[in-house]
Amino acid sequence: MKDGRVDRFKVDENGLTVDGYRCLEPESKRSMYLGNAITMVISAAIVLLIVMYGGSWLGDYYDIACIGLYVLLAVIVVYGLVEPQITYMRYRYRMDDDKIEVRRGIVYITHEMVPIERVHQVDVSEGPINRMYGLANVNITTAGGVVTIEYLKSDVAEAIASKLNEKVIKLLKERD
Amino acid sequence: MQPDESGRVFRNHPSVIVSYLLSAAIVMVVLVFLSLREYAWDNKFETIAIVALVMLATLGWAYFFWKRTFYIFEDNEIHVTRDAVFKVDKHIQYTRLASVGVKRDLVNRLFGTSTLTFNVNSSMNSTAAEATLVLKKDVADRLRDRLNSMIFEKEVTVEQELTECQTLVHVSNTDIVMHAILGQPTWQALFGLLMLFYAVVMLFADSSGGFITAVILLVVSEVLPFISVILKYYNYRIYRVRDTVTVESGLITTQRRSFKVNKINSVRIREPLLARLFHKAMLEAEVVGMADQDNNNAPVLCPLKGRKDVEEVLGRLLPELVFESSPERQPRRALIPMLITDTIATAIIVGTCLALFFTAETYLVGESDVLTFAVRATEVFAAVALPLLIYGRSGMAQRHRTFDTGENSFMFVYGGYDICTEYINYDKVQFTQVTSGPLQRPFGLAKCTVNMMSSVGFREITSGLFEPEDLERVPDEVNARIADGRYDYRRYL
Repeated sequence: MKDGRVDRFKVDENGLTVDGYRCLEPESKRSMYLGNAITMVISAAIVLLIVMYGGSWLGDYYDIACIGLYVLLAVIVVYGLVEPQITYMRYRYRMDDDKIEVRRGIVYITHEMVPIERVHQVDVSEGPINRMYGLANVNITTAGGVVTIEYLKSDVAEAIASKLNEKVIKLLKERD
Repeated sequence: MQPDESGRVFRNHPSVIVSYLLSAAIVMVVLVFLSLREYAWDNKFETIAIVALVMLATLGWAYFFWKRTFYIFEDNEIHVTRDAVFKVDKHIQYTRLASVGVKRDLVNRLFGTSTLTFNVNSSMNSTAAEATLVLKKDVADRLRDRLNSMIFEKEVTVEQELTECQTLVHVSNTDIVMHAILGQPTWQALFGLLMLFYAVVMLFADSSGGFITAVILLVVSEVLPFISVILKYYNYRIYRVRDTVTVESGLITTQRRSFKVNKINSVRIREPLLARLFHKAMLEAEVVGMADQDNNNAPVLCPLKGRKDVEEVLGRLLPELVFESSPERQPRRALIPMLITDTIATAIIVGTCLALFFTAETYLVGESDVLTFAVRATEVFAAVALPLLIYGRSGMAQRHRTFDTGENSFMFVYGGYDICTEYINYDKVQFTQVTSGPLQRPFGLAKCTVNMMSSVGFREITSGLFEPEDLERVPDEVNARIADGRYDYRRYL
């Protein structure tokens, strides 16, 4: 319990929350850290270039622009360092016979619910960083948009995708 | 393949070639007279030759396409086939059709034809009709009668519709003019007023560039939408025959569009601030497959009328979606996170505006009395009116936002200055998100976003701030209906 409310993110020894949600694997944090590190390096390079060569076109605004850029860079760095830990702590998902649910968020905490009946298409995608850590995303497409379950172990992602596909095909066959 | 006597195989009326030529001619006129005027004047023969060549190529291409495109109306589907540069074989099942529309523009009227538009119930290509077919008016009417009885199970002919079906709401053309004036979103009206102010200021400041820019923005934001609404909704009529709703309107281009009630995802009573001041509202529906290239908006089921009249039309037109509501009001404590958000927004927006205008002072103030007045007036507007508008929005939102759940649908009342009361069919919700931000969590509040297909792809509708447990009733009910069989996909085919 947390402030008189159920802590929906706390997991037991089986890796399940009180509502039966699953948490992410620790590799997901490494993938997020690496992704954020790349973003930080690119941002720092852009800031450095502007600081070194932007004097002529920024004119009188050079000093204030530099301060703004340093603040922005500091925010990106702090966010990049903190975000993986919070995302890992807060990211929970579950799937039963009727629906898929995802709880996630850093600043805004969201509870997403997709009825399996509404699923049109399921695919698994792996970016280069995720691939390094054996992770993948499951993209669930409905007529109203796409919901993604991120940073799953590749075999887990494949299993979820094939289970979902089976359910969708079964639904369609029942209709025929 | 050839068009046959049985009325099964059709080819577009040859006037489509004229439509293509007309479009090409307009592009050429714009190009030659507006963009390349000097070059065209200096090289008259070359210009004439190029224009003639383009028109000839368009004629050949249009003829080729017209000659090789056929529409076959099978027992269960429309089969569109084109054996041109790219081969097209499109099959549109009647059960997938959301609407069949009839449009008559100037070219149609000139040649005595009608354009039939076929839209399917899909979020893919939802802004364009799946197929369009131009036929002689009597042939189009006969085909539409046949399709009506096949798809919509309507037993009345087009002629009977025109004479016998009574409109569910009497809308005069004065109502349409009022709809065009008062029905616009508040931001649009405000932007129009600002542009009018700047146009007048620039006129007195002898700044032709500034005047033209302000006038162009005024015309684009206010005048054109006003004319467009009048042209689109003039001579408005709406009626329901069994489960099919038909909306017809238009001054120059007339449109008659039919859709089945089961294709309606949600219906909303929209009350922009200006309209609310006169106790007026309008009724719109979200129907997938109703958009086309000329009209990407949700169909208007009742133009601007008194709020009570609109509620009555809704109750008579779509009793399936509305319910007796005892709505839950947004809790008073929701005002605190909203005001904190407003304070942050005010600091950012007003700060940025004032920084920009203080910079502008260096260049503009002192140039002339009028410009000095304009800059000072804008600074006062940014410093006083903008914060009032931002905080006022939260006050309005707190007063109006409600939420309720019914048997077949649920209701969100959302917005600030422009209030929307939307009844959403549970069975049309694709997925939901209940979100709580850092300012809302300490107060035990969240908002619910439902994602649905819409006439322009997909659309999100977000509630006000309520307790998460209350909002979770929406996803719970969506699931419960699927699980216990109250949701039956066959009802929506």
